[in-house]
Amino acid sequence: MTDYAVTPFQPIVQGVVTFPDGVGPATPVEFNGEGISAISRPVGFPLGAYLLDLDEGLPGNAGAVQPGTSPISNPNVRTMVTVRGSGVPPISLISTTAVLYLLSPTPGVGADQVLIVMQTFPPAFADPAAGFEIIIWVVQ
Amino acid sequence: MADYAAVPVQPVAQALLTIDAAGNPQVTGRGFSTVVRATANPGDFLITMDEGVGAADVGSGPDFTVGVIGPNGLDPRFARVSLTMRGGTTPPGTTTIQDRSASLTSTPGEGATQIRVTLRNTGNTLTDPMGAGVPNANGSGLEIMVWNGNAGPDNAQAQLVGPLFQGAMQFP
Repeated sequence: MTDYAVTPFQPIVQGVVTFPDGVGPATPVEFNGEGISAISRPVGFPLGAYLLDLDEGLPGNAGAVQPGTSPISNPNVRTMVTVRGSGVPPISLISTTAVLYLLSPTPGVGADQVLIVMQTFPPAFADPAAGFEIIIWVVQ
Repeated sequence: MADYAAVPVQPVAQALLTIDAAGNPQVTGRGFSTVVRATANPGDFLITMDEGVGAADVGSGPDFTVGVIGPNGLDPRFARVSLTMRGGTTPPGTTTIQDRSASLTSTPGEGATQIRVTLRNTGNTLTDPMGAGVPNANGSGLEIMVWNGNAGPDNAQAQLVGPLFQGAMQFP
């Protein structure tokens, strides 16, 4: 195979996030895939925000997502989120999606949590009824 | 592990696009050499692929002359681009960027050597992914990834398939 690859993308997380009991304030949220040990809704945000803990047993653990100068400037990680639609024809109603990498309070550990935030338009936090797909790479 | 891979996709560039304190765009990553504002508007960026990128430049590799471009530029039909906004200052980390788009700038005989990225907010206004040197309500940067989505079998390997290349021990 012709090798055009010039920069390493190493996947550390892949999976799909769903809502087994349906969407709604503080309903359970579930992650199926690899690289994530726990998923929850951050305190105070019962809709549209998801906190993913990187698996300690995979390259996504301490140090794999290396520390940046701040939680929002970590240069070594990339994420792709695709929202799944529901209904006929499928639609998600999600207008904006954002990702943040949250640094561990332990110095030198790096980011060990990933925060995903979704909103509709006009801006309001919302869960996508059919869930969303997520892939996270380390790119250094 | 079961091998379901049917389509080779190879990464050729990745970067985090941010705005420096002077208000100029910058890219941190690999595979891109420069970024400038495509127009005077915010949220409109022209990113040039690194001349050393194998898929973007025949001049890749340490033994080639720096500055030689093409003819092995990235075919726009085969480019795959992912754009992801990083969250901003509105808790817990929302973004106002609703529309993220990428277009490839090609030169005949060279292929695509530049990518133009535009970002628009929920009001359909061109918007930077962050403030000057600091995050703002719009976000805290834009993640960009580019793949070559057509890194198929090369001709040399394909020519080795056929009865003439059966091992000698398989014949009576």
